[in-house]
Amino acid sequence: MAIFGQTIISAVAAGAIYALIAVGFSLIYQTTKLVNFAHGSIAILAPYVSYSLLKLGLAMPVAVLGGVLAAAAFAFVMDRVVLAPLRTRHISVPILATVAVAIVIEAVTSLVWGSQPLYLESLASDEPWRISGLSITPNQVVIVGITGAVVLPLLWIIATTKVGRAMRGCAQDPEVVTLFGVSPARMYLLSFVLGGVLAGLAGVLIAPVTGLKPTGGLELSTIGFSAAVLGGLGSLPGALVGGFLIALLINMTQVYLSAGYGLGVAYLVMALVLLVRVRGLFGDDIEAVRQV
Amino acid sequence: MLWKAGKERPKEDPAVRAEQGLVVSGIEVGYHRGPAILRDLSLTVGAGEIFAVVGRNGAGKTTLLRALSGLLPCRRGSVRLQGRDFTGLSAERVARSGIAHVPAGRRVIPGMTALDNLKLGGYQHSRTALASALDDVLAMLPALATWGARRAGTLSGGEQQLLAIGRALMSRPVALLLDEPLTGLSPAYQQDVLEEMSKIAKGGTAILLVEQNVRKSLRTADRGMVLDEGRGVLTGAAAELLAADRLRDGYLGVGDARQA
Repeated sequence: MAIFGQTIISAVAAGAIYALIAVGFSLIYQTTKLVNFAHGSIAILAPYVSYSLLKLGLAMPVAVLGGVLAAAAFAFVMDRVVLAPLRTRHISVPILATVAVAIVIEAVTSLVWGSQPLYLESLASDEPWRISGLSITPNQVVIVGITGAVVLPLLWIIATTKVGRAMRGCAQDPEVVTLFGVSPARMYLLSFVLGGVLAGLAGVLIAPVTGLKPTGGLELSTIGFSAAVLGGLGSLPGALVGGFLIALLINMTQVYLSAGYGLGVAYLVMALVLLVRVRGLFGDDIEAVRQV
Repeated sequence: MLWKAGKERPKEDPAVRAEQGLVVSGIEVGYHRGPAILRDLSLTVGAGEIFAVVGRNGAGKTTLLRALSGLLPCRRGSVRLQGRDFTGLSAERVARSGIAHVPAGRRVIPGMTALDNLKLGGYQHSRTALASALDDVLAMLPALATWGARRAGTLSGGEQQLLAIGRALMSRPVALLLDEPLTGLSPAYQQDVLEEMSKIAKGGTAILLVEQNVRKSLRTADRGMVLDEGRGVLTGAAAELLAADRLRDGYLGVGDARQA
């Protein structure tokens, strides 16, 4: 029972990070109808930059902030330089471009920081508190706290403000929203920058747990995309829930089956959802909407 | 513009009404580098006036509205609203300049609620102005309030058309462009839409209506134009156009008479 409880605690902390990634995925998809396969790679850029800033002698909070801003800046440049010129092309073209960006990030991080794993300090202590026989670390509490403090206000903004409505409208009919004074190009850019912030945060939170390696981006993209698909691609609350569910499945599999099967479960969930229920748990009933 | 109680309504003098409305002068419009779809087209829609553009499929009616709302560039000529030239502005800037366009097929955002669709129409407003515009639109089209929480994609065609018109009114436009608003609607809903259109025009908004249903649109309009192969071939008072032999022979066929 203690193992089960401990698995749940670990899953909640990991789920918070996966939720950050998944919400970013869904936010970009919700606005642009684009699956950004470079999302996980942008996430690992942040801890690499933080690592270098720490080496330069900057304080941890400044280094973390610098890493997150670097991820957001990269997302900004990616949208303007790589994706904006491709917007008039078939959707498969910009999607393939995101795959290319992911490959470039992996190669460049390998070149700059080496292919050996690097380690980044946690934001808070990893010395556990013992509560009713279970261990909870201050860092796990910080991870969940940061996710809540960032994602919940974002969900509120997207659901209730005019910018949120414009972003949602853009994905469904980018031409018609221009008739109300909305600039789709600005909304796409905004979704990428916000997605970059979420990815960067996820990166600096997960790097102390998993270590930093250039291939980590693909892993994060897989998990984040699976969580977003499970929650319903384009549904932000769905992505939040999907993040926690995927973490629970991965952690349970690792504890009760084999540590090596964790990522395989993410792939399996993604494949099953896409085959059986493409709108996931909370996504739009796409077919119903199309038929109207 | 939706005129609130107590606000000054447009002057009745036709010259003043024209100056307060939409003036299109000699525009030429085409797609990409293709041939011109509209050639040397001019028209004036005064404030508080309904101007119907009728014509066959492919005459250039939709192209005209797309050009006026900035979705297509004008190669020549000018478009002025309340005396201000906004030829060549992007659709976003045209929308902010006081033109609202209800495109063909309604184009409501299906996954969003009717209320969110309305609020999206008032994107350019501040929070207070948005609330005020919403109150005014719901007062004018009270049916919208009853579907507010429903997703727009689940509304009937007629409900979606009223929603699309209400959404366009949220920006408090000076000129309203309506593309085939009667298509696919039951006769009862067609009547509703035409009545709402008259109410909106009485409030001072210049309405440019593009329709295939020649009789119904000209019966509602003050003036009109017959568009043929991108040129305005006949312009005048709606009643005169309806009586014109050329229109009767060329455009009021058996099918149209049956619809009327």
